Amino acid sequence: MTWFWVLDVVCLLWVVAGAVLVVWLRNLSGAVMALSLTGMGMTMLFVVLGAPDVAHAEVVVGAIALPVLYLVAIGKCRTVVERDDESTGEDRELHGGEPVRRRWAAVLLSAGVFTGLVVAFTGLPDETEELPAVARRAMTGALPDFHTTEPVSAVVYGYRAMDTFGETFLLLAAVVGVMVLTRTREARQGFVGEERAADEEQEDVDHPPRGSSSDEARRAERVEEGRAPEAPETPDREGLGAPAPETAQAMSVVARTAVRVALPLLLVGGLYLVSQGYSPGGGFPAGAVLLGAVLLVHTAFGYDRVRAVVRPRVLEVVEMLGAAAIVGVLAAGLPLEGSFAANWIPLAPEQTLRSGGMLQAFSVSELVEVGAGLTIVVFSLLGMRHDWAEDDEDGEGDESGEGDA
Amino acid sequence: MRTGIAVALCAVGLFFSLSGTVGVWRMPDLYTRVQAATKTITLGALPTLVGVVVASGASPPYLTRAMLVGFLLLTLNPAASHALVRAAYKTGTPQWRHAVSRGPGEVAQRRAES
Repeated sequence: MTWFWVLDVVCLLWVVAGAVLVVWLRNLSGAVMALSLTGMGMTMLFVVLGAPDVAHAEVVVGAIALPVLYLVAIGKCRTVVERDDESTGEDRELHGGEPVRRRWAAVLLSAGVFTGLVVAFTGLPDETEELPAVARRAMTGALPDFHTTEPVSAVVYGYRAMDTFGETFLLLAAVVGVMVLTRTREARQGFVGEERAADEEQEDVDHPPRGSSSDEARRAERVEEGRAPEAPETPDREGLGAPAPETAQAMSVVARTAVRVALPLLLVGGLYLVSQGYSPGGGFPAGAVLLGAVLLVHTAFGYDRVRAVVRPRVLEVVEMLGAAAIVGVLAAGLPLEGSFAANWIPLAPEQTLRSGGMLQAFSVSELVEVGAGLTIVVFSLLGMRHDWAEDDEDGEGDESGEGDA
Repeated sequence: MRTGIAVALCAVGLFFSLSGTVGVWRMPDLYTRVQAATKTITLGALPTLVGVVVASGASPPYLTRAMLVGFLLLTLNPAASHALVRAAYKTGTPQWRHAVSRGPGEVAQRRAES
């Protein structure tokens, strides 16, 4: 057991190597893959350090969701890039491009950070030392206070429930921010119906009548993008050597079957994390796992198949219900037990589904909130469209384009 | 005895993981590299999992988890490799110059000619 530091160091080196790759790779997609590698290394590190619940969250957020967000962002921003054949020599780009002065500054800064990290690493307490008082309090208090055998859950949802509450609502604020920023095609809502007042008269003028539903807009958009409006659902009928691009949304039959087989397992695994509250897990990792499952379905089957599930109107309501449940669970402690976030649910015997008392209720509400919130964020960004007009020669936007939509 | 079997299984897994890594390093193009990388799962991770089960004496927590991980690896790893290589092939990622087959479009073209 004393040899575990080798695994520690291997994981740390892995993380560092991934981080270096992120900076070093000039290919954006490659850099994102390296970022995913870093997240994977962090996950392994958390497993080695004995924090499986953090590892659950990290593997989905750091290794999957964050790289996906970056890929989406890169995909949305990428325009036609002219291939610069002169600078394909990577060496020249890496070593000849930057001034020497700046390189020295970078070396100095890196050395400083490295020294700081090494000092911090050597200063870490090792396992033979006595635990700090806070840790001992959590370890000894989890069982009598909450009847749970998982001190991390007791800390996150019990002793420091206020912090988790704050974090959750920070996440909620972020979700609302992303939603507001990405929702560009929303119809204007009037108070007295003034936005629909002249529709009939307008239809007499417009030939053909303007489509108002988002489906029609989407179909028109597809035609504009040059994609076939009636794309096949799956690419299975395509010839063997047909070149890209594929018009079908779904992936080939191999990927679809694999996802179909693995999905129930992943969903059960995610729900297990939250339902068995006395083992490592909890609402946040479970919510992240659910997001991973939805992303998997989206990747394999295409957007049309998940649209019924990830409809914003449904998800927003679900998320708000989760937030309301958190507030309710925490606030109920105030009249019943005399303080906010106090445990007011009777404690069942340990190692049962309800053993955590309030912890479990908080954790389940957190699952709803986080799962819905993260899904909203990812799909808001996925559904984002170019909403600006292309620049013409003078750099002026095309006035007649759909830039003002 | 049991420890010996477990160590042997883990050694087999480690060997194939290592050889897969060497394969990724040494193979000439993406397609052959992916082919080497998939081997680290089927022949590298699975014997190690079996070794873990053997070492822990097939107690339910270890056995079920190892089976779960093994099942997921066996399902998702080929699918992920397939999707990766398919995307690479479709977008015309260059092949090794001595490769027998050529890029996308040529297969269909050849079939149309014959």
